[in-house]
Amino acid sequence: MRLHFLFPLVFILFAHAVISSDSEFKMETLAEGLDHAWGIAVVSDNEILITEGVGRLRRIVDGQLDPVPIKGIPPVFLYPDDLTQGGLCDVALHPRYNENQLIYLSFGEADKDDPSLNAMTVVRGRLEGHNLVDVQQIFKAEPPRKTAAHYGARILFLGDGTMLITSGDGFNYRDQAQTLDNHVGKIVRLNDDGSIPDDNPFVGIKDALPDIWSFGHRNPTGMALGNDGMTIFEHEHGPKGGDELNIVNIGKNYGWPLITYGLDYSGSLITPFTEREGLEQPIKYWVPSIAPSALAIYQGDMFPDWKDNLFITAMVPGDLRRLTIIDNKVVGEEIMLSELGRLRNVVNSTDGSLLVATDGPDGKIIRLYKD
Amino acid sequence: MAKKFVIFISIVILVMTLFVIQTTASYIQYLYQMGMPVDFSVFLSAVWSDLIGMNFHGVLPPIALVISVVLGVAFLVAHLILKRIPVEKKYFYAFAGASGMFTLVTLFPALIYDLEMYRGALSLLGKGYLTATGALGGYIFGLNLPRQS
Repeated sequence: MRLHFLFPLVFILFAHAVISSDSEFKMETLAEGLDHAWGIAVVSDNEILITEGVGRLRRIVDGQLDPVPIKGIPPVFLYPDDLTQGGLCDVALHPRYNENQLIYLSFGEADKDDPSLNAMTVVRGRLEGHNLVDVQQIFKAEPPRKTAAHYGARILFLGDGTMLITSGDGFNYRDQAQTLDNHVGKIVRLNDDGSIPDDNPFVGIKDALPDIWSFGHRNPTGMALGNDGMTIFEHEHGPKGGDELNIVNIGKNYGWPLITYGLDYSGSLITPFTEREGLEQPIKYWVPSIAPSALAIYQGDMFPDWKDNLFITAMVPGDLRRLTIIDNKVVGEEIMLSELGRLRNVVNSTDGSLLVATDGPDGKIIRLYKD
Repeated sequence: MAKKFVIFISIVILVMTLFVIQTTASYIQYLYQMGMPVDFSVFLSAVWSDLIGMNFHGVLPPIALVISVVLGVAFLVAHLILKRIPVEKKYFYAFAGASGMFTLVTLFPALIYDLEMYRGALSLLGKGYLTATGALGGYIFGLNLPRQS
């Protein structure tokens, strides 16, 4: 009887052992010299697309980086040549890419009427050899903003063929994340051609943009569909502390900037509140910040221990986080690859390996695999 | 000299407090408009948190240090000019304080890609208020300087 108090201790130790069971993996560098790699799309067993912030779309074929960038990419807004944020961001494949060769790109685009302004924009185009053709804009965040920060810009296709696009708060415009007449701090849902699905939550609502799916976000740069095909995981940068991992549901308000676990960069509060009825709570938050940059849910068979785990690349101090989720709760977190510096992206590859992009002007694509 | 220093420190504390109050008021007002449960006690508690936070918990340099540098440079320049031009001190120091704070709230964002790091300076009204705190600080500084200076 006296030993009963040991059971929880044994359980905790056992749980920790499971969580930190670091599967042996090897690393190989697939590409290097990438100027601020951001988006990665795995086309096939031997082809990968990568965006560079400077506005280039690159291709790795058979493990070799093609030295010639793909032509036809629209000009991107860089302010002024700063690549810590913005530029060319995500690349996503159409769900029927093998039939139509359509890809989607997100980026900051200068406003045509006032070049000092810019807006997060998504285009789609057809990939023909080394050229992107038939490029058409399918989304532009409104209103345009002066700042070159907090774009969001992640693209995710859902099982029904519609797509979610994250749109950040532009840093200076946080208050607008709570109103529905703009795209500041929103996730929008569109059909593959940019039209608006009839079953979006705010269709027909006065003063609300019909493409909005959820709101109250800050800078959501990571999004992934759970292996159940239903659960949408999203993470967003908090301010100083308060990075969040959320499960995004239709029409919900995620609270920014009414509630947060972070402080403003000046050290002041943003709000005294961390929770409020009607505002969604994150399933996990980080204080201090880890600057989460991308999110993938492991789908392969190469690492059975990793099945259904969430992988988050972090830029501060720079590592890969493996999160174990049970019943939509985070029950474990392992820190990996802390020797590689700032990490920008992580995606599943077709063979069960993981691809990780490092940040910076000499970015690399690194493959995690085992024999 | 010691008296000047005490006056200067007092002015920095005054301007810093007004700066922090403006910062707090700007987000508390927004939260109130959005239906969050804020009242005067929440406001006071937030002002206290911000006084501590903006001096010890920020990514930016402590606000007291920033204001010391801004007003210190502004008053030094004013002092040098006043040696040559006979102008009423309290008004000239008020102008200098306002110029310093105006520079802070306009130039600082321009240096970091237009990002407004100080919530209180986000709006034009906020920038005007913070500029006015500099003017007030300068005016009091000029008013209290020893006569021989």
